[in-house]
This record gives sequence, structure tokens and C-alpha cells, in this order.
Amino acid sequence: MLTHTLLPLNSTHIPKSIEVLLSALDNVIVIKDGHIIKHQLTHAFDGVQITDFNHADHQLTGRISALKIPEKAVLEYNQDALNSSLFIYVPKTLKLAETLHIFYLQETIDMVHNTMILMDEDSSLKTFEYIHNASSCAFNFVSRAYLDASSQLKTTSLSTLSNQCAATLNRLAHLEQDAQIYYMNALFGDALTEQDTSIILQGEAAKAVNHTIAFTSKAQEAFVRTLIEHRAKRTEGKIEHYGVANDQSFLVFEGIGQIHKGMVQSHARQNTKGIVLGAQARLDANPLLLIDEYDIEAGHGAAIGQIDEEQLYYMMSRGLTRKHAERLIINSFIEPIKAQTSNQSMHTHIDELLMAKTQ
Amino acid sequence: MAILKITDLHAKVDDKIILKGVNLIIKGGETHAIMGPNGTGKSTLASVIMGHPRYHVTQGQITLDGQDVLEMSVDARARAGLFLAMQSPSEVPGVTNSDFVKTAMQSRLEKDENLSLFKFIRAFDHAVTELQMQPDLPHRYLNDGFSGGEKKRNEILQMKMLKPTIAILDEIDSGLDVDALKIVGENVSKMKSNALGLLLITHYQRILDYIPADHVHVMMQGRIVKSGTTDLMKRIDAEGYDWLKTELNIEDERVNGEDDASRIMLGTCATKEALK
Ligand SMILES: Nc1ncnc2c1ncn2[C@@H]1O[C@H](COP(=O)(O)OP(=O)(O)OP(=O)(O)O)[C@@H](O)[C@H]1O
Ligand SMILES: [Mg+2]
Repeated sequence: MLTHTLLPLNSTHIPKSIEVLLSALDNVIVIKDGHIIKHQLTHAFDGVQITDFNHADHQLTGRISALKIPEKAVLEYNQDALNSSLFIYVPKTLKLAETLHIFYLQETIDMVHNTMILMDEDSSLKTFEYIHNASSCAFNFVSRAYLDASSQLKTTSLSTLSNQCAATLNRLAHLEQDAQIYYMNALFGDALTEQDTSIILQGEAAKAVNHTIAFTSKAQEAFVRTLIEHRAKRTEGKIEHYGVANDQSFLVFEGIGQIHKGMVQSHARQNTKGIVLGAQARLDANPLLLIDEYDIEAGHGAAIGQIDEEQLYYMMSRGLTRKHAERLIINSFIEPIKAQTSNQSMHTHIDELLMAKTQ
Repeated sequence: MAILKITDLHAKVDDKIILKGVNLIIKGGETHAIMGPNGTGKSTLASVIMGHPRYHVTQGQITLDGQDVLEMSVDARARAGLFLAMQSPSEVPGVTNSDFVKTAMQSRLEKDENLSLFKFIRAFDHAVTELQMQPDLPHRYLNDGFSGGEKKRNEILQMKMLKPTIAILDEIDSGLDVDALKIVGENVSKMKSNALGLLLITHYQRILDYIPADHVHVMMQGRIVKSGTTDLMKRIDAEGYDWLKTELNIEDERVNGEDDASRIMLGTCATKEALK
């Protein structure tokens, strides 16, 4: 059984900077140091189970926990030391048009968190996650999703973990026939970060997109790895890794598209775009295609380096300063994230986060 | 009234001298056309005026209304009133046309001034209509995936929005079909006033049907070798450059004739090698 103890909560206070973001949002869950301190949903979410593991229906959670996961120390630790959890169940055919906002806030503890999202047949859900810490900590975050046939999940995640934090962000998704998942992960924090996403396309014609946008600065290091495994025919996977490495930071992208034998007419695509902004920064990209079948389409493109001098000259020849021109080009990376929310304070906040990472 | 003054301009790229003494004065209200065979330094002259970082001025001056242009950064030149419609404009995926032009216009305002978004959108849409471009243009990425003709129109669209005092249009007519040429020509012509000095770089006379030129110059070997009126251009259009080369006693009109010739030799040898 998936239960865990809760560590004592210091207070239910929410930092001002986050309160500003929350105030204009509908459908909000706030988890602080493992405790769900805000659970504010419109009637659209009636029938959706959203609770911690201790209160969840264990027959439902069992459908996810029964799935095999890779043998990895951070995942084992997550199971053993769990102190924060969230379970979301969207029943059959329920299609939610409104976005569910989830705030993960650390105040005093070392967060060991697990989210499980169970999408029943033909259901759909959009989530917007915000990950934040207030004090020095280790942040072990795992998010697992099971998408039954024809269901759809779109998750946008914004991490702002500070340099006092070491973060491991693991996502594991399992898709049945015709299911579709869309992950958009934005790393804006200063934390030493390891983000690892594995998507398994188990059912025929399942589709996955993983779009990660990472900004590193100062002496930060971040490792981003995405695997999409095609275990059925006519499956489609797309990995997009975008990044800007500033100062003397180090950013690594590893993308793996794996198509097993017999999984004909599958598509595995990857695209990497990176800007090395800092004179001493490093950005590595390792796109990998592991393909054991002929009747497929696969490819990867990568463009990494300084901002193109010709582009800058062109833009400056219209009166933009070099700084402005660079900023416009870098801004283009975050447009897809901003498109996921119409909240004006969130837009302003994202602009500020970007500014802090790239000046 | 703006005056761009180019005096004895010499410039090089890497170690190759390309401009070898260009003299030219363009005043507001005037339209100049520069012609000349391929590789004679026309685009280089435009790039040097705009301040492309690859070109280095080794001798001579450029001033705009008495200000030393060569001392200014590229963006400062643009804000001072210079505009260059480039022969091959860059593509900038991820940055929309409208964000780009908005930022360019904002850059011309004082720090505490703000661009009226409403007026901007109206002016932009109006320019799009006048140039008969696709209505989704503002939201498309800057020149990204544009056809040759679309890129040229987009240069003129930016010129309409930015209202320069001296504009250089480098082969704005090449790659345009007849209808597009007419649209571009008429749009440029409509902008003509005493506040705008124009320099057209072109190979063909037909653009001047829409944008009449007061002065025509021919460039060879990195300098202006002959100046005249539209009659000069008409003759070149009809007869080519040979008569002029004979008149001026020029055998090879290119900037680096010998270099180019030896490159061709190498090319031939390489092919022969490959055939063996
Ligand atoms: N960036 C550069 N690097 C090397 N060579 C250059 C560069 N720019 C120009 N050149 C050389 O200088 C010479 C003049 O080039 P330029 O582009 O100015 O010619 P042009 O008169 O505009 O020709 P066209 O009519 O074909 O456009 C050519 O030999 C060209 O190869
Ligand atoms: Mg040219």
C-alpha cells in the first residue's frame, strides 16, 4: 500500500510572490512540505479524485504502482522516503477544459514527492505545475502518469528551484492505444538539476511530445534526459530540447528515441536548439536514435552555438541595440510556455525569471 | 534635409580590398541608382555604409548630416536615419515580424516614451495591405521560410514603418515577378519626399519606371567609374557594359579580377583531376 507519513508543517503561510500568482487562478492545489494546504476547484472538477496517497482509492493507485519502473537510486529513494504525494484520477470520458494548477512548495523539509496521474479511457486533462523552494533542501520529485486508451494529458511545469537546492525531477509516463501526452518543462531555477523523463508508447498510435526549455546560469549544472520508447506500431514521439547556457554554467541534453523491431510506421523526431550565452558556458547535446526497424521515420536536428552574428547585424540594422536583439531571440524560447497560460501575472513572472537567467 | 556624404572610401574584408575610392553624395529628395556587373562592390558599399562587422574601412569618410557614421554602431546608424534593404535578408525563426518591427520602432523613442500599440497595429496592418502581403504576416517569424519575393516586400514593409531619411535598396527588384515589382516600386515611390534620399542598387532599368532616378552611377573595380542620367542606364540596358569598358580602358571590371580568374583555373583543374 502506498502510504507515507507527513512531516510536521511549519505554517500554512504562502510566500507573497506566489500569492500574487495564485490570486488570479482558478482550480488550484497547493502542496506545502507534503501537506495539501489549498484545494480550490470549480465544479468542472467534480468527479475527479485529487488527494494525497493516504486518502486515495488504492485500487486506482494500484493501477499505476503496479507498472514496472527503471531501477534507479533516486526512484527507489522516492518510494522509501516519501513524505509528499498527490493522486489525480480522471474518470472515463471526462474531458476537462479548464487547467488544473498545482503548486509544489518546499519550506523546511527535504521534499520527497510523488505525483500519480491516472487518466482513464478517453479522458483529458491539462495541468500547470509550479515548483518552488524556500530553504536549503534536496528535492526529489517524481511524477508518474498512466494514460489509458484515447486519453490525453498536457502538463506544463515551471521549476524555479534555487541554488540552495539539489533537484532530481523524474517523469514516467505509460501510454495505451491512441493516447497522447504533451510535456512542457521549463527549468528556470538555479538548482543543480537532473531532469529525467521516460515515456513509453505501449499502445498502437500513441503519441508523445516532450518539450524542455532550460536556462542555466552562474556555476549551475543541469542535465536533461528524455527517452521516448516506441513499443507499438504507428507511434509518434517528438523530443524538443531548447536551452540557454549563461555565465560559466553547464547544460547537457540527452535525447533518446527508441523504436523496437516490428513497430512499423512509427516516427521518432528530435530537435535541439541551444544558445551559449556565457563566454565560459558549455552546452552539450547528445541526440540518440536507437532503431531496430526499417519502415519508420526518424531524424534529429541540432543547432547549438552563439547567437548568429548575421541575424544580430540584420536586427541591429533596424535600430535594435545588440542587447535588445539578443533578448528578442532568447525570448522566442519562452513563447511556447507563455502560451500555456493566459494569466498576466504569470507572464510577467516568466519574463522576470528569464531576465534573471540571461542578463 | 539629410545628406549622406561618402568620400574616398576604401574598405576590405579579411585581407581583400574591395572598395577602392568611392565618392558619392546623396541628399534628401534625390534618387540615385548604382549599376554595375556582378562582383564589382555594390553590395559591399551598402554593407560598409550600414556597418556590417566583417568589413573594415581602411581610408576615407562617411558622414550623415556632418556626423561621422564610421564612429557609430550599426544600430546607432539606423536610429540616425539610415536604412538598408538587404540583397539577402536574414531569417530569424522564433521572433515574429510584428515584435521585431515594434521593438525597432520603440528603439527610436526616448526612454520615457511609449509606442502606442493601437497605432502600431493599425500602421502595420495598413502597410501589409498596401504591399499586398498575407494578413498573417505580423505573426509569422521574421523572414523565416519566406519566398524570395516575400523577403523583398518585407524589407519595404520595414522601411515604410521605420521612415528612414537615407535608404539604400540593394537589388530590391531581383526575384520579383512583374506584379510584385509594380507593387514594391509604387510603394517606394509613394515614400519619396524631400525628407528621403534613395540609393537603388540594381541591374535593370525597369525598376526606374516606378522609381525615377535623378542620377545613375556605374561601379567597376570597387569604385564609381561613370555617372550620368537615366540615359546612361538605358544604354547599358540595351548594349551591356562592353562599350563602357572600352571607353574607360577597363579589361576586367571585377574587384579582384585575378583572384577570381585563378579560382576558375583551380576549379577546372579539380574537375580534370576528378575525371582521371
Ligand atoms: N564577406 C565577404 N567575404 C569575402 N569576399 C567578399 C565578401 N563580401 C564581398 N566579397 C567579394 O567582394 C567582391 C564584391 O562583392 P559585392 O557583393 O560587393 O558585389 P556586387 O557588386 O554587389 O555583386 P552582385 O551584382 O553580384 O550583387 C566580390 O568578389 C565578393 O566575392
Ligand atoms: Mg550585390
